[in-house]
Amino acid sequence: MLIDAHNHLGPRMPFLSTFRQADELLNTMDKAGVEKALVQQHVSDLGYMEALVEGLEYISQAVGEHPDRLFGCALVHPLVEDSLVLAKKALDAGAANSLKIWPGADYQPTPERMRAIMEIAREYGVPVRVHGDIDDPRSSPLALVALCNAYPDVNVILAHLPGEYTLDGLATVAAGLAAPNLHFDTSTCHSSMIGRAIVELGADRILWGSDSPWWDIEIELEKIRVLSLSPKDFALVTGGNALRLFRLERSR
Amino acid sequence: MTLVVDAHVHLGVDPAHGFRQERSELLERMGQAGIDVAIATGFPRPNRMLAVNEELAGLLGDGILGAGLIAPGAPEAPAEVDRLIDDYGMYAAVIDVESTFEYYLVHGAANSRVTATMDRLAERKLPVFIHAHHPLQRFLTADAALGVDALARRYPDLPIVVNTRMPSIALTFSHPNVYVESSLDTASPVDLAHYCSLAGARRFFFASNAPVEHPKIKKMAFERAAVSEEERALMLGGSVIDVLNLPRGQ
Repeated sequence: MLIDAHNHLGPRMPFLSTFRQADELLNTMDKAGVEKALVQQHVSDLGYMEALVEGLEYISQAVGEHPDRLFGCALVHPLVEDSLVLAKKALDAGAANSLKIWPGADYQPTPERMRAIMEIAREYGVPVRVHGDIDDPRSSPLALVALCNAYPDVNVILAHLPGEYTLDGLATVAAGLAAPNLHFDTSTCHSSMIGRAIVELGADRILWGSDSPWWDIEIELEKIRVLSLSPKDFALVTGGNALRLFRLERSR
Repeated sequence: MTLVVDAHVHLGVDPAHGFRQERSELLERMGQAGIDVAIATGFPRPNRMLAVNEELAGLLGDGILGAGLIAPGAPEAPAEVDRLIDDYGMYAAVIDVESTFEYYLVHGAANSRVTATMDRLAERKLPVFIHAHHPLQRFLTADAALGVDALARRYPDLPIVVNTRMPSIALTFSHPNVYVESSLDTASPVDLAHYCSLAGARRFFFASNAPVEHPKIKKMAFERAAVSEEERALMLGGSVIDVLNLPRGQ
């Protein structure tokens, strides 16, 4: 089962002129043979409460209309208390089964600052997803080690491996070795970096994701295929890990 | 039909990051991706400019063309520019910011050695690829952008190809001799179409950075970008053929 662990939907898609609607995503999923996909709103929605509400409502509606194909992720900010209220509503309604933070929005993801979010994740048994960016020390894998160690029972998934343009991935490997509950999604990364992370950390720590619509689902999947993984590892990276971490089998 | 040209690949062994690509591996990947011509460079290594270029020269042919490393601050660099052209038949030079910390790019002011090398590149009209990716930055830094801006102003007839999109794309607006290639981008068709609309297809080159990325993956992104077929053909080869004055047949 192919599960894409990183997609965006909603009315505000930078660099795209229109909405990204659920039907469009489902069509691209079908072409690529993808069964399920995580959907989330764009981080820029965090700047304005009405945008955050509207975006999450759009995600919730899409998940509600396609519960067998889509599962949601609620965007939160540790300094925006209302975002946590919205996220809990989405978790209660089954519209989301993960949380997402973007530390590049000017905060350090320290254990203390992240306490409320991590406690929600612990209470609901959902992973916390983090935008990864090796060039931003707040979004670096090494910035998450203390957080992961403070909450060892909460799974954390760092998006974009990272990073989008980083060549050696040393920080990814070092952080992954130091924090067993830290996982990585592959979206936007070079295939060679994905392969290296799988070798160093193990296939059970890596989730395939596309970051569509900006990145192409079939191209991002081809980055996994060119690695010539064993069938077992390919299945883990492209679906098995998402099933486990997002508890998709239990929730459906 | 225009040739498909991969404007940035590497051959050899990269001790800094653990990459390697043999000639046979590159040819196999070019075949899998439908690449006619690849512009190859050795992996940048400090203080090894002459040896890396000599090794690369022995690997050219069968659609693999050369772009030799130049460390502009090295005393032998001007002579190496001549050797790239006259002895090796290479089509471009590569300045790698990462391995040799070309700080004049940050300051926008070169010392006499760097100036002598850049003067020779301009005299010989050898296009320059700038690996402008600072080791700790994914984008061309603002400081380095000022340095490229200074080079582009001082050498207006010298094609300068930068491998990072931001803010290199903005530099194309004011400098007709600045070009951008895609090696550091990670295969987003949306981004590629956006750059094409901003810089124009004649200023933007397909480049895979193989073996960091498989050329067929990067080429897929160009094939799926929402651009005209004319623009696609230019980005996939036509533009770099013109700028580097490459052979037009296989």
